[in-house]
Amino acid sequence: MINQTRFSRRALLRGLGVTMALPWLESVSAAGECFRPHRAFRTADAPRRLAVLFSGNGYHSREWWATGQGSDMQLGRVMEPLLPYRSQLTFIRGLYNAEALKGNIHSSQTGNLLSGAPLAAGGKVQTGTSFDQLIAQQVGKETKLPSLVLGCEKANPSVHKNYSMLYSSHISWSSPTTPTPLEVYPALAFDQLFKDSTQAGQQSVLDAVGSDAQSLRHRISQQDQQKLDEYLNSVREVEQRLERARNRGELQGWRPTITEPTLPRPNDGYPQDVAEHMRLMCDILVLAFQTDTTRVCTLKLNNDHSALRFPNLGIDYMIHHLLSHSDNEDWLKVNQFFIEQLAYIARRLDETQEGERTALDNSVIMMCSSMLHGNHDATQLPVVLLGKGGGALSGGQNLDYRVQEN
Amino acid sequence: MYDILSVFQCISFHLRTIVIVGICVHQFMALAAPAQSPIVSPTLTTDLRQTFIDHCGDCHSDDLAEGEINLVAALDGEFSQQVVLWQRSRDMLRRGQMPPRDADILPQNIRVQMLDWITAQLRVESRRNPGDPGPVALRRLSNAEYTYSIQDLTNVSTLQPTSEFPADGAAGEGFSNTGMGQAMSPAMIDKYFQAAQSTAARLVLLPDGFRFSQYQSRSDQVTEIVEQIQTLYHRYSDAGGGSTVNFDGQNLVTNDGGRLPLDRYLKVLAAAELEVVKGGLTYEQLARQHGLSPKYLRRLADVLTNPNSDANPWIDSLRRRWQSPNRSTDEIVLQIQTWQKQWWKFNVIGHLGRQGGPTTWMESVEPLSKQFVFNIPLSSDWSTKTVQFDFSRSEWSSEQAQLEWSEPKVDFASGKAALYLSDSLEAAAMIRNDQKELLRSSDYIKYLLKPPALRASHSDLRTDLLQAWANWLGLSLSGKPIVTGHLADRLENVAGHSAICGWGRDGGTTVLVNQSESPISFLTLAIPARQLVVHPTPSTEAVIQWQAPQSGVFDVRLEVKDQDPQCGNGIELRLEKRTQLNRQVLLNQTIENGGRLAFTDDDVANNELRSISLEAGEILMVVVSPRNRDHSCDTTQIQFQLVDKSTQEKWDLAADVVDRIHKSNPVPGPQNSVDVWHFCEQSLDGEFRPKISAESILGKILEAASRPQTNDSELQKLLVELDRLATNEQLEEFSAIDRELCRELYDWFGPLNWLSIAQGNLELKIDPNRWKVGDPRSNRLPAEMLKNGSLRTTVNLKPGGNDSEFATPICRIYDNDQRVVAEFIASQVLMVPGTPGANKLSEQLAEVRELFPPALCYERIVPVDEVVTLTLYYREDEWLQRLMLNEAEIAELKRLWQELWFVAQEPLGKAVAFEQIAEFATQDRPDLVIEFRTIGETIKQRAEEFKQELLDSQAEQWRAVRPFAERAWRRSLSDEDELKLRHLYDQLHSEGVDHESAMRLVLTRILTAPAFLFKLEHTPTAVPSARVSDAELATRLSYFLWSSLPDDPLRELSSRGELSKDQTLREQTARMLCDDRVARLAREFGAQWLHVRNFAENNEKSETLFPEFAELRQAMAHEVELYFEYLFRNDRSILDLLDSDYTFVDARLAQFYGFAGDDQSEFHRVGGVRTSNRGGIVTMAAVLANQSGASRTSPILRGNWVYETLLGEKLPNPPPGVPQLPETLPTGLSERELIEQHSSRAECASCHRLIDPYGFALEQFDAIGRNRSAIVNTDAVLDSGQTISGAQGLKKYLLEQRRDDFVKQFCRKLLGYALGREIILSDEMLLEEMQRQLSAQEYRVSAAVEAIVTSRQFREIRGPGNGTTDKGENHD
Repeated sequence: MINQTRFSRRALLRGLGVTMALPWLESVSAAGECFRPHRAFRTADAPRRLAVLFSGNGYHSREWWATGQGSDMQLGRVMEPLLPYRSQLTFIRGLYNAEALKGNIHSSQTGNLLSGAPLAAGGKVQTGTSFDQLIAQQVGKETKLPSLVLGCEKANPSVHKNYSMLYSSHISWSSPTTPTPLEVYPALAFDQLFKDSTQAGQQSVLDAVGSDAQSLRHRISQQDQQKLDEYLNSVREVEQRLERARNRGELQGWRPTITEPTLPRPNDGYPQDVAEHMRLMCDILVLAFQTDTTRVCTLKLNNDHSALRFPNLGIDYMIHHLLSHSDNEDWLKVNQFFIEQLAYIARRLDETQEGERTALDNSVIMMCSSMLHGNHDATQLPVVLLGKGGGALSGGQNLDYRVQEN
Repeated sequence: MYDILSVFQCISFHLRTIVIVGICVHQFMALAAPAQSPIVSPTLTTDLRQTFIDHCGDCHSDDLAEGEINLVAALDGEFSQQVVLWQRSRDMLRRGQMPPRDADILPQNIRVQMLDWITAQLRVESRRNPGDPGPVALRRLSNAEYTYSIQDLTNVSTLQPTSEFPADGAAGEGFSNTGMGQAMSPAMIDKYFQAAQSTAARLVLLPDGFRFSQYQSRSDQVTEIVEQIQTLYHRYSDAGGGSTVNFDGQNLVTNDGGRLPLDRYLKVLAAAELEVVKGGLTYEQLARQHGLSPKYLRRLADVLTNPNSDANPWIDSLRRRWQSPNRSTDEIVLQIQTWQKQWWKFNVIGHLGRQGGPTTWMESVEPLSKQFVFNIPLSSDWSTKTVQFDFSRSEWSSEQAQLEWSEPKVDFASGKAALYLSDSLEAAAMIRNDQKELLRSSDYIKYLLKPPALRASHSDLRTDLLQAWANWLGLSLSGKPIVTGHLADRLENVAGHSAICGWGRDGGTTVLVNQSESPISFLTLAIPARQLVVHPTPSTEAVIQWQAPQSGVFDVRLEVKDQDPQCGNGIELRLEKRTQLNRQVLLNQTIENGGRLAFTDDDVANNELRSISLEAGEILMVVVSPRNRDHSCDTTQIQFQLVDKSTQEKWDLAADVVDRIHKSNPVPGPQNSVDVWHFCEQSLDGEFRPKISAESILGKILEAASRPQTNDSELQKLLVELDRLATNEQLEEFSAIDRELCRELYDWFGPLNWLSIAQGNLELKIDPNRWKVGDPRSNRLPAEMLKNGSLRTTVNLKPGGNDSEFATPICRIYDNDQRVVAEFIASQVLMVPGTPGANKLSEQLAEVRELFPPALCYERIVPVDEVVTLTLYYREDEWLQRLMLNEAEIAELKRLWQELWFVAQEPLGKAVAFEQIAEFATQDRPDLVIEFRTIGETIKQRAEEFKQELLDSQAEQWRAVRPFAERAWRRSLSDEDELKLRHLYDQLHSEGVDHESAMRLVLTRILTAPAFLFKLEHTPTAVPSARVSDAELATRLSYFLWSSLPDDPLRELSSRGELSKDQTLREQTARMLCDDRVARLAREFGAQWLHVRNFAENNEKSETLFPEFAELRQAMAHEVELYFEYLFRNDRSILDLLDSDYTFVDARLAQFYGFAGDDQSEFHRVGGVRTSNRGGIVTMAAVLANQSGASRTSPILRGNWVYETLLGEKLPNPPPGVPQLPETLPTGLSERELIEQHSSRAECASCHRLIDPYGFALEQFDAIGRNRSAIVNTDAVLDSGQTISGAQGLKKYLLEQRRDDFVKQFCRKLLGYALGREIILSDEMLLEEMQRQLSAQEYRVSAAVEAIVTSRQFREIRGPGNGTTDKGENHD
């Protein structure tokens, strides 16, 4: 029963990009390997899934902690919502992103969180492919969508202190120069899961524009070719996805318990209520895993340097970013509200039985932020993992690397 | 916002600039040539090198290289390879951030020495390759550019295809049009495909190509065209004007809309006449000012002011009135409207085209005739005592024409005789005489109240007056009761049964008999053979009355039965006996639904009915009343027999009337000719007696008389009282009710109807010659006598006159004071038919009609004036075209209609409509089938032809694909390109996709292609850089200034290779800056530079504290856009951005800013705003609010914004471990004091003193940018030690002491936006040139734009031969 392919802690941590001891590509491909079905793995077994949740601006400086192990584990008040899931919880302290210490505050503390790659300044946009996307590129062919990248706050279109705010708005990067666009509209995210119908002619149109791009390549500079290749590869991927959607079910050895949406299609447009927005996105993430539409999902609950307010919590006098500088009870409330989203996803996955295990047992949900707390301190990052990754993680662990080298 | 004049000004501005800039740029280009600038690097002396090592080497050497800066290595290496490092070093030195505080202090002279060397080196470096186009990453269309491109491409400005796209990233100088920041991914491809599909879904195929609509469905697209046509109609016609017509029970307005707005034209002409005559204004200008048609205005002016040789009496009369000193346009309009009503009529569209039906909606009516009949309603409320009639003719009559008026008379309500006007004076005299009889009213009444047997002769009473009294009192001269409410309409063939007939109306009270020998059933009821039934209504009872032909005692048998048991709620039954003055209810019973009541047995209970005494003429009546006013299914059978107990004569209702029911109503009895059976109805709400108040003397008399026990003296007293009232004196002694009774007594039209009495006694005295044209007016006639009547008279031309004579008769009515109270003009023109004169008249009338048609066009287009119609779209607008439209407008209208027919596929729709109508008609209107059959073939044939047209148009539609792709892809297409597109079409076609869908997919493909999504540019080979092609230049230019694809002039010029000519390029730039589309430059560059591009969606303010913010943010954002748009379009000084005396507001924003009295709801420019602390970007609400917290201001954010965004400075990161600021203000501290406390800490102060003072100066504005009501401290000490005060102080400081920094920052940002990349060192000379040009040209913004578009950077592209690596090109 116990899976032979153990989840190596080092590989995972390197995969997160939080350390740079090994060449990162190598480390990440190792992480990707973990998510591939092992040869010995029975095809009828449920697959493993990865979710990465992010919230910007860190957490309350005195209430982010954990002591003890297993069921004796005590948690800081920020993490109160996770108390029921201590047995599934891995609390990690002492990780940091070396590259994030070099640039600015905010604008250069987020974009490379999942790659650990350097960030280009001076109006350029370049970092590294994030590990969620590397994994998606490896395991994504098994499912209709290689990955689902969701967000609850629109990206910030400006340049902050010589760094593009694209960095503040994206943790998921499909190439060193391409942030994976976030879907912030619940209805459109829902459609990605369930709107399968290929429009008549779509394939032909994609073929045609793909061949356009191919024949243009020789006329333009090498640098431009890279940009055009992003287009070409994207077109190809959509074509492949259409292909996979047509053959849905045949590719997968394992059949998910749910095939139809269990919630109605959300309303069109951008939800005005933060709580409703986050809840819908969490539901869609859970549904994506339950239906095996994808096995890799990134959900950015807000931007670093976020401008969200929380009238739902009675806190509308200050936006998230400025609140993070206050470190008071309201900041704590807001932190808990974010962690509740994590707890909600855990609960929903835990309720989803997949054979003898639950979907939570088969998943790893990581929650992280750009800094430990509001005053931009990135020498430590807050990281928690929930779920057992199909047996790769034991859960109930409290890890502290502050005193260790890497 | 901008009127024509300001646009002209704008153009001339730019033209002026072109000349100046033209010269300067020319010189600049010469200067910029690389060969001219020998590069001499300043040497690094050994001493200086050592100085660097002494002060920096400890940290920044091979060993440590803190912050990854190895200064020592850089000193020994190639300077050009380490440009970024040296730039950073320079900045750190300059701002005093290096060496750090804990290191040895750097003496000022050493610092200057180091800085000078680095700066000089950088300067040399910047001139190494000036004009280098630089590294520009392939640019995808930003979301905004995509949206504008689609809008321009489709010509549909409402499309928002990217509304749900992921937000763009920004890069380079902070703009989202920078290739570096633009991602592409499968999800984006999906979105692009969907967006292109959604655009293609709006395709509208036309006979000769295609266009786009804002709608996707055909019916919406059709409605859109209909609305466009209506918009064109409305330009020169008015809505309304219709009158309601009842058509088959539906109220329809068929003649609504499309009205000739004559009133406005005349008023405008009248008001501007003098100015036009003096030559200050042309009719064209006048028309344009007022939105009128120049064509019609001029024509009207011609008609009204120029004497016409070929006189037209109607137009002449208008001209006379127009030229009269007492001109009244209202009267003229009224006159013309009268003609319009008389000479035109409107038809129902649904009836057009029927056999023998009308052919047009608006149809002219020829008003020529031999004779005219006046029927003039006379007023009911004349205030005058007398009136006079004048029978004459209108001014548009021939001078000799004489009229003959026949017997004018006044008709009154039905039942009253007409009064000839010629008799009326005499009648009045008679009435006054007759009314003397009122003094002995009691005699008349006494007589009438006596039973006939007891009456003496009435020789001393006047019979006519006696009759009048009897009518009023509801009595009869004969003494018999009066029967009223007879059913007057005969019913035959009821419900299709010839045996059923009777009296009454459909839906009213009915009395029916079944004449056949067997019962007849229909609906839910049955009528037994040879029986009679009645049916009441909710408000009336059915009444059968038997009037006793002789006095006697009668045995009465009655049986009543509900004949409709399946529904209804039963009925109520009464049997009443009536005498002159009395009513006695003998039976009053309810019959349940389907029930029956019979009083036919000889039992005791029926005793009363067995012997009823009646005098001759008295009545027994059977009343069937709807129970609770529910009359449904109340058909009731009545059997009614009477036997005279002494003579044994018998009357039987059914037997007497079944066969004779239609003989008359009443029907006589069987044995004699006396009327016996009356079929009547009476109102449930009605009075038993005529309207005589029971409280009045007369009421009391009647009441007393009807009581048998009344003694004579009581009655006598009342009668005396009545006579006293009738003297019409001392009325104050009587009650108000009696005073009203007195008025009624004397009213000529009152209950006694004196006029009728008088008329009965008049002899006909008509003198036909008494009323004719030219005679003095008629005598004064008493108004009281005529009111409520209608004057009727027939008028002819007097025989024997000339053949060419004609006249329009007029009848005027004058009051006591000889004022006209009413005037009636004949709608016909009298003439002698068939004469040449008549023909000429006909032409002249046509001329008037031609000038003043009531309607110009059928505005509805889609007729709704019939239940079913074959006409789907109806066009009638010849009048509009002829009178109002110019050639272009006529062509436009024609095009729209052709589109409508084609897009709506009218012939196919009509064929369907025909099928439906034909089916309907065969069922309900068989008479129409033949009529339809004749047109059916034509309709089918037309549909077939149209199908062929659709097929034929496919080739034309395909031909439009190539130009569309050329516009979208911003280049010309090769045949091979087109072949590829065709390949897709053919492939889809072979898969069975229809033409329209295939066209849509081809468009989708064009809009998803890289050629549309990317600004592709051909990379030159083997050279450092080369000019881009003309087409590429056009694209660069239009995306720079318009954020969209090149328009036709640009494409035209670039296709001829002319755009790249300096002169042309500058002309086009000037043209484009004056265009509406510059608003996009304002938004994309201006708002983005200031960080307020998405301010309209800003959701960062506390709703508790600033509930108004959500409604204001959009206006705040728009102000910024308009401000920049104004800057560009009017070529203002960029210093206006720092300070000006104007800004842009709508009513809401004006109120927010406290601009008193400014309540224009639309956005507009407003001046004099300096006094309110506004004008310039620094004090715009959007900026102030954006740089504030959710609940309080932040001087730090605002100060930092001024420092970095306006002045182009950069702050280092805050030190680690910065203490937190409290979220709410501690008691007793202002926001400023809080910040000051925070910033006083040494580790914070070094930065905060650079930025905070700017924020403090803006503290007068709260967190949403509103002027605080309380005065706050806005004095601030700058880092330099200088003091500034408030917003004005800050503006003054920026304008005077930081002008160069601001101008440089503006240039840097605009250049970065234009190029879509970050500024690099080699741009230095261009930036300097831009600043030089600005300063030489009063800082007009066009100077900066011109310098950019004519620069090498803008016109060239790097090739692979460029030696510069991308690294190390960071310019500051």
